[in-house]
Amino acid sequence: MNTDWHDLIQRHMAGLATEEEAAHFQDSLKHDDALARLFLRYMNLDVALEAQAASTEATRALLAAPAVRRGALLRLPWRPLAAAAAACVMLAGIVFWFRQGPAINLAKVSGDVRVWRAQQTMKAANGFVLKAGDWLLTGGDGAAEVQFPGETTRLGIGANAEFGVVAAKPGKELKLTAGTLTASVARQSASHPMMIRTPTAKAEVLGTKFEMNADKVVTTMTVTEGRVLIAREDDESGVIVEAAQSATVTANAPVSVITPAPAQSLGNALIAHWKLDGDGVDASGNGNNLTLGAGVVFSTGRTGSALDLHAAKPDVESPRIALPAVFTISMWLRLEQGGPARAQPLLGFDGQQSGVDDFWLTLLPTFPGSGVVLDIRGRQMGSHAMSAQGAVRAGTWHHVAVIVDSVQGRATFFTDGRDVTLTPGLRRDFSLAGPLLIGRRVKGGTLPFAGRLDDIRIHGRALTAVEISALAGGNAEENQTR
Amino acid sequence: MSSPSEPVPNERFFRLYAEHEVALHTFVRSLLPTREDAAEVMQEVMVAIWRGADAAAEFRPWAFGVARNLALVHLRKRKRDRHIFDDALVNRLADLAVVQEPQHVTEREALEGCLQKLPASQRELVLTAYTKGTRMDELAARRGQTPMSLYKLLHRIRQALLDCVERTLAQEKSA
Repeated sequence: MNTDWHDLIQRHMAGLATEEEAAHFQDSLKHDDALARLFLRYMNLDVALEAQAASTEATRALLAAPAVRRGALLRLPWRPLAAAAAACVMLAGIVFWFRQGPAINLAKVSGDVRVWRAQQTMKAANGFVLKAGDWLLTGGDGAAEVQFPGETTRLGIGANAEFGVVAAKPGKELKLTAGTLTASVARQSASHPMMIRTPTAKAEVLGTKFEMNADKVVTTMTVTEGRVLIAREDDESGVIVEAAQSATVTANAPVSVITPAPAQSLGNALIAHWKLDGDGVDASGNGNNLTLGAGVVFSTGRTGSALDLHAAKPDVESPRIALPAVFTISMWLRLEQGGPARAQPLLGFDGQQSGVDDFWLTLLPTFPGSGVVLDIRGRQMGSHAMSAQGAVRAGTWHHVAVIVDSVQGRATFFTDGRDVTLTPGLRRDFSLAGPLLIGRRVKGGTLPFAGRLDDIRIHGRALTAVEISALAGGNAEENQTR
Repeated sequence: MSSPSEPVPNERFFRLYAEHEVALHTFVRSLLPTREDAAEVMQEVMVAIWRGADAAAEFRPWAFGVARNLALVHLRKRKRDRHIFDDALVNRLADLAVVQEPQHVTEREALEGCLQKLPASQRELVLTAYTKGTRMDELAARRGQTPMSLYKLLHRIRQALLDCVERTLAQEKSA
């Protein structure tokens, strides 16, 4: 081996090679196997030294900073090198954080909410700023929302909770030793995921929605969107909990993950369920029964019977419903063949009645099929999100679902269980409360949906793709002409 | 229903990723001119693998393929840099890195002992130089050296470490 190669490799690594040297080096690497192997050995050494330095630096920083809670990332064996590097970055970040000042705010504070800081307890109110090392304590009637500036992450802290902030930047490191936490976590950096520790578990979050409950003995977690990696506090490997799954973690047993049958999970956060089997009864148990206008007709449905607005055009209206910021509307529909080629209203708030910006879910006619559009209309300029066109054909039963996220300003469309979203963007400032009109835009209007509607459901959350697929019968081939 | 004895598919991915991360990092580092480039691409690699692992029949070749492609994308953004390798060389190194990985594993294991054999001042220096955020010019100034003399000293330490690793592995073979 030419000893000059050692020098040239290292000059290349340091970015010091001249243009001529770089060209010569590349050419030699292509033709000299021994050189290529030596180069790779140096690269291997480079990565190993970087990891060793990160680990050493993290240890050094920990020893030099006894006041800082010792981050469990150091003990995290899931990704040894990344963990060591992350610990180093995290500790540097904590120092940076202290220099930059606080970064976590409290909102929606209600009831008994206190903060324990530096051996003292103080009462918290909206706008209170949490710092690393603080503990948020809620009483039996207490609740608060933790907000992180610059991102949409929200952590709802329930009653009788103990929630600690270990570090806010660069990765959020949090503790929940008692009570319930409801999280909507915006996408986090892959190298700095949010870490939540409980007495029995540790969870790594990159961006998702979930609810977590903890006490000294057991931690439970239910994921509603995305996925969370969860492990026993002292365990070396984690289990990924997917949307609609629940995990239970105790000190003495392996992590248990349960996937509820969609039929079971579909009962969660169900606001209204109109089966339309000859009446407008709300099967969710919430009492949101429909008011049916005179002359209403029910004919053969996707299952049982369906509301037939082609045969008769009475108003069909729900009581006033207050929707949460994220909700899902789903239904079966069958547009009549040869029906009018116009926009076909499916469901929405009546903007003329309430005088504020509301939403309408509509089928837009195109040939040979239609797409679905969610319109925001009212006092201000409208905006609309749309599905791909052609997904809904006349004379056939189709399942349509739309997930509306008024915080993110997004709508996601599904027809027959498939995501058919074309343009998801929505304005965010529209009304989420009012009576829903079924198959019509305006009360007393003359242009209702020209077909049948069946099994309409409103969920106060984003359904998962699995749940929507289950509602759609599991496959698109099942569409029947009835 | 899933249980620990019946892992969910993504748990399989996670275990495999943990197992191969160092190899992937070395692989990516060999294709890119600086540690910072490698760190940046590794973030992309992790996200891409996280998203797509379910569909991969054989994790290792697939993950290395993902890493290679992302490194190439990164290199193309910086194609004017004279230290950037062309696609043919990247592909050659990628193939060789996969073959060499078992050897690299044993070398990494031997490195720890070799670091301990270094004089304390040299060990401290090399680990400081590899600590994230360390600037060579500042480190040189702190030590009262010129940057070039610091580079040369680091070159000698790295070469000594490689020699030590080689000797250690040779002794183990003959033992």
